[in-house]
Amino acid sequence: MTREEIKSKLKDIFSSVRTKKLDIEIKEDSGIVEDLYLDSLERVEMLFEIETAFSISISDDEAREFKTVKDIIDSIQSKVKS
Amino acid sequence: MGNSIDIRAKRVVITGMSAITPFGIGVDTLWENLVNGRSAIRILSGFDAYDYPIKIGGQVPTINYEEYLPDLNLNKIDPSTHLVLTTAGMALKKAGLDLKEEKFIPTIFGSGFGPIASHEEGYSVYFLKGWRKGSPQTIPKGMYNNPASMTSIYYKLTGANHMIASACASGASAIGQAYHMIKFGTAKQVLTGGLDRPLTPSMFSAWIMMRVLSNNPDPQRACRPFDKNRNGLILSEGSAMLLLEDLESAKERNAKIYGEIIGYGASSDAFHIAQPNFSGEALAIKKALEDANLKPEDVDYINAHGTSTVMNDKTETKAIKEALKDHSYKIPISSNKSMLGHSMGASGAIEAIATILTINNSIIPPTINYETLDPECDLDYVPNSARKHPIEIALSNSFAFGGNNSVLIFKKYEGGK
Repeated sequence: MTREEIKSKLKDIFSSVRTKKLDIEIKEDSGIVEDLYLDSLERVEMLFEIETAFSISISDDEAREFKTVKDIIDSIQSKVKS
Repeated sequence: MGNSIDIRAKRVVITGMSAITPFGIGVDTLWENLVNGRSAIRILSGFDAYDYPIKIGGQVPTINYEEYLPDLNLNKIDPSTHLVLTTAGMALKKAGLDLKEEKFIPTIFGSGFGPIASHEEGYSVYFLKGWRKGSPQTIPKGMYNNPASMTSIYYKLTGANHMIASACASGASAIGQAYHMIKFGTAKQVLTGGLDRPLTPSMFSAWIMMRVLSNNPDPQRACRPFDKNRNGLILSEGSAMLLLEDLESAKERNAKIYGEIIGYGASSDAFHIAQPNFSGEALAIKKALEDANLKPEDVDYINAHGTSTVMNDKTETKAIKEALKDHSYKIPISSNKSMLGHSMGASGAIEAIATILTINNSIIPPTINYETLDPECDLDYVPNSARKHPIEIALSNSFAFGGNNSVLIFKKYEGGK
């Protein structure tokens, strides 16, 4: 799965978990909190949706290290590949 | 004196009203249908009633909520909260308030079942797919206070946000609590009302199993409060909201005043979880009259609880007679539920609005489908067609499972008085 394909799926996930509708451009260096405006509950839901969409598992410790979209894509890519 | 609470009782008026009922969106739609004696009961659609023996109810029509809540991701909100956020916004707007500005307004709502669809969805995933598939949103979306809390967040209302559960009386109980908050000076404005959406597959089946729903297959004629051949209630859904306000505050900002609440009485039967008891109901009526400093002779009209169950209608009749004595034979009484069905926690709030409109229009909506006299229901139920009648003071009864009785008293508001 390419990084662009993952990013495109992530874009849908970010919109689906956000309570308020926002039109935001998503880049790899976008910060999850400061640029995507995902609150703590929305981030939990995001993890759940990512695990379901990509059939992977993300631990709480790993999730705590996610700061940008790039971190999420790296994690997904490593797990999907392996 | 600073900001200390002024303990003199305040007069409480209504400066905003809105409703979404099985008749559709808005208070005008509600009134036009009620006064013309139309039934909102239909064959249920939108969910598969499987092999249920009962297939009728009062559903709110399909609404494009995007139009009212354009900036929200509606999938993340329980269907009952869609209704509430929409009606809340309409009531605040009607009251002439700025929806964008933060305001100290409590949100005090009543509901029998709250966001029940989210519970149903959560349990369904749990039992069918296992706990690992459960959504992190199940708790916030399904917690009972979600409708009041979401309204507070969405409209920036910083007063307390509470939900009140007293089954079928919830809407009236919430309005009663809100009335007290203003009367005793803890808020100048309160957004209050009721909501319920019990027409979900499992909830509907549970009502069927309780054997309190009418099994009459004819949607338009099944609900017949006080008629000898009544055989059960019709489940329906809806939401109605009122902005209650301190009279002085309403006058200061030149708000339009729709009516006044002058009394609230509540009681518990302390008797049975589902069976009504006339003395508990009569006590609530008496407490409301005491609160308003009225005598039975002052009452001009009663908006009845009138559910169309065998037990409710005869017990309510007995309670009215117990509380109002001979005067009960001299006043008109009617049931909005004959047309709307029973929307549980929403009903007390919808009927509060209907009562205010009844007073203001001097027209009483009828009790439809009334054909045969029941010797145990021998009062004037305004059968089948609306009646012109001047009304100064009206009662609205709400009686519920659990022995909850809530009675509100409304008075015509004449400007300046």
